[in-house]
Amino acid sequence: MSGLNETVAGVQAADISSSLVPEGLSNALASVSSNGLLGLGLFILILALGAALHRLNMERTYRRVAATTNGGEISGEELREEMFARQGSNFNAAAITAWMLLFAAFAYFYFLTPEIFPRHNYYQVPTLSSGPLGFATFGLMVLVLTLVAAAFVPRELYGYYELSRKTKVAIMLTLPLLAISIVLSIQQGTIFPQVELASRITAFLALFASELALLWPIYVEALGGMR
Amino acid sequence: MRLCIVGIGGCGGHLAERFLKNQDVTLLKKSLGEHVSFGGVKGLWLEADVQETENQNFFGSLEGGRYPGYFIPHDVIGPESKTSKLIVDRYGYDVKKQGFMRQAEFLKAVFEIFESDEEVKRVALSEHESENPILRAAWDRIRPYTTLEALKDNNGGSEMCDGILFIVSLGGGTGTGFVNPITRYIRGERPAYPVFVLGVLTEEGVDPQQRAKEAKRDLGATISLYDLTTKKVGIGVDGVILIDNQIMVEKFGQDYSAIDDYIHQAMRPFIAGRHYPGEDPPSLAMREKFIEGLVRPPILVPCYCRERRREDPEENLVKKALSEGKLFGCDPKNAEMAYVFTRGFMGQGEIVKAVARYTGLPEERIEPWRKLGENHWDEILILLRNPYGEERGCEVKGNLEYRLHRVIRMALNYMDEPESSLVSQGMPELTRKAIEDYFYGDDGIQERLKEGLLRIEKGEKPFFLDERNIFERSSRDPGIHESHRASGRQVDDEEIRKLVEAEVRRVLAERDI
Repeated sequence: MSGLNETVAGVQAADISSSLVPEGLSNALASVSSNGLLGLGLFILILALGAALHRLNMERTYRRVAATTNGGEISGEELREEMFARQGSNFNAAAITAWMLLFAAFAYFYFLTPEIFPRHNYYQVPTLSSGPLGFATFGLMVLVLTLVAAAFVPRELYGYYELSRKTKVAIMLTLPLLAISIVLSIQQGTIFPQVELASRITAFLALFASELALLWPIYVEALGGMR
Repeated sequence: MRLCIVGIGGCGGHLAERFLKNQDVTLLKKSLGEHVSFGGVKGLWLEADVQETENQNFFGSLEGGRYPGYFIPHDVIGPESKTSKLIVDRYGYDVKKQGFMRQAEFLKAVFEIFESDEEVKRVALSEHESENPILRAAWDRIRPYTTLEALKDNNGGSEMCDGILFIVSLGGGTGTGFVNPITRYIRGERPAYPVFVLGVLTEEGVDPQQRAKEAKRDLGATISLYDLTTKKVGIGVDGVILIDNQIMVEKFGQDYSAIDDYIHQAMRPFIAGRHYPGEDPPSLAMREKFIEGLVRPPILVPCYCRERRREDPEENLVKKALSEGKLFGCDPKNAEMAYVFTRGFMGQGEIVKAVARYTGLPEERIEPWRKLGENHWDEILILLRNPYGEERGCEVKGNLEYRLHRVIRMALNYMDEPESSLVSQGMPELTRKAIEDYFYGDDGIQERLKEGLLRIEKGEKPFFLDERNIFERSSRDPGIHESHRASGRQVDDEEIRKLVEAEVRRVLAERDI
């Protein structure tokens, strides 16, 4: 496997020099996108920060409502009920799909080819990787595994925010963005052991831009509340 | 409170579109899911002109199953209708006329014929199974969005509307002509069902869209306002929210789309959901507050302000809403009551104190209803009840009396103009006499408007007193709804008890009690 990684590194170096992106930036992106632990950490950090800020937003709303209510006592459950706003079934369906695709795109990006996590990847499961529908099965498994989480996340997250149509459209646009990320990751898997760095960087940017977009309403609410 | 928004006529349709816009995302303008409007409102557009409905693509045909939909009530009258022929032959009115171009009295007359002429009633009943098929058809389209339908179907109705907000242009033809008869029709079924009107008074000068003279529009507005404010509570509407387009035009120029957006934004605190816990009164309770101590429906002037969220926003928001944010000129110090709707984090006591400070009202005459805000904005909408009544207040520019005095004056001037042709010579004698009597008779509208002007000058409330019909009804009592009579069904005590129980259960269920 170490020989394989050397090959990958050589191809990466060749790709960087042919890129149209400024070399420094390209190098930095290549380095970040190829660093599995950093990517994994960043992905989890953005998610965890989103969850923490959502909790903070909810608590802050509770405190503010309590502070402006005579006696300062309100039922948290009642407040949550009042805060809940229907966002529409088109949006909910799009959001659930987007969250499922986010996890799938993440898995395809980091766990499809061995150059990022040499010991934990698709090629480590021979029955899967040598099957005719290996890539698709891999993706479907991730989708099934994340279905419950993805179905829960939009209702729990977006239901408590007043989302403008523009925000909803932005969240909906993560669908094609994540599809691009997945397609490019599959391309990496197809041409492996070669690596096309431009595709890899694009897939990486699409993945993380989508993650940020999906959590954007929470970040905006938290940032605005700090003013 | 969840309102059913009914836009009537051109202006009503444009505004209703803002209220009913789908908050969900759509693909290629096609929504596969349920339509989600801001505040959970539902509604439709009633129009009289087919062409108007073809010049837009927001509302689809209700008959074709589209939502949000438009409905042309007089379409229920067929081209060969005996009812229609009888009315044309006897009164000269074509009930299938397309649009009513600034003639508020046209529909008023038509609907009064349906209520007063026993033969028309009889023919209509045999032909359409209703004494007033136009209103019946309109109400049949509105009703399914209301809790009244939920009660009939014995479902909880938590998603249904427990009040109606009609949106009309005062001075138009369709809106002003339709709103009173349809309200009266609803009252026949439910005297206490909350019904409000949002009336937009057209701006001064010539209307650039329809080239209609201000005086002509003012006559329409005056007739409409007269009818709206003289019908007693329980027969007419529960409140007339007035907006002056002159103020809007001064703010936004002739950009009517921006004006519609702003009016919708200003009304959002009123229609929004996401109440402060325990501060979501049923609309019946709100209605009681609006008409408390009144015999006739109040005029409500909206005052609105929106600002970035900050610490202790109440004072500033109230101050700005009552100074720069009035949507109809008035002196807040003349208001009898203030209904305050807020979005954001605001203290109830602070709101009441601030409103009391700027209006001079005792705190018990200020009713605040708070809702959660959005995206770091605080909003306030104050509805001032009857903010007029100062002696010689009509001489003070910016007062409600000043503006309405001008409108009524211009309406009276228009009535005297030879070109106004209010009494059309081509009409049958019966109609000509009735119209002449209505406008120019000893007890006609002209004399009543003059009396109204005097009352405004003296600072008396209300300025219009008794309702005036063109064609007198056989009975002024709305009585039992004719649709009930047609089916031979009487509402007995047991049924009333069941309906009340169902309504109480629904309210309690909504509040988890």
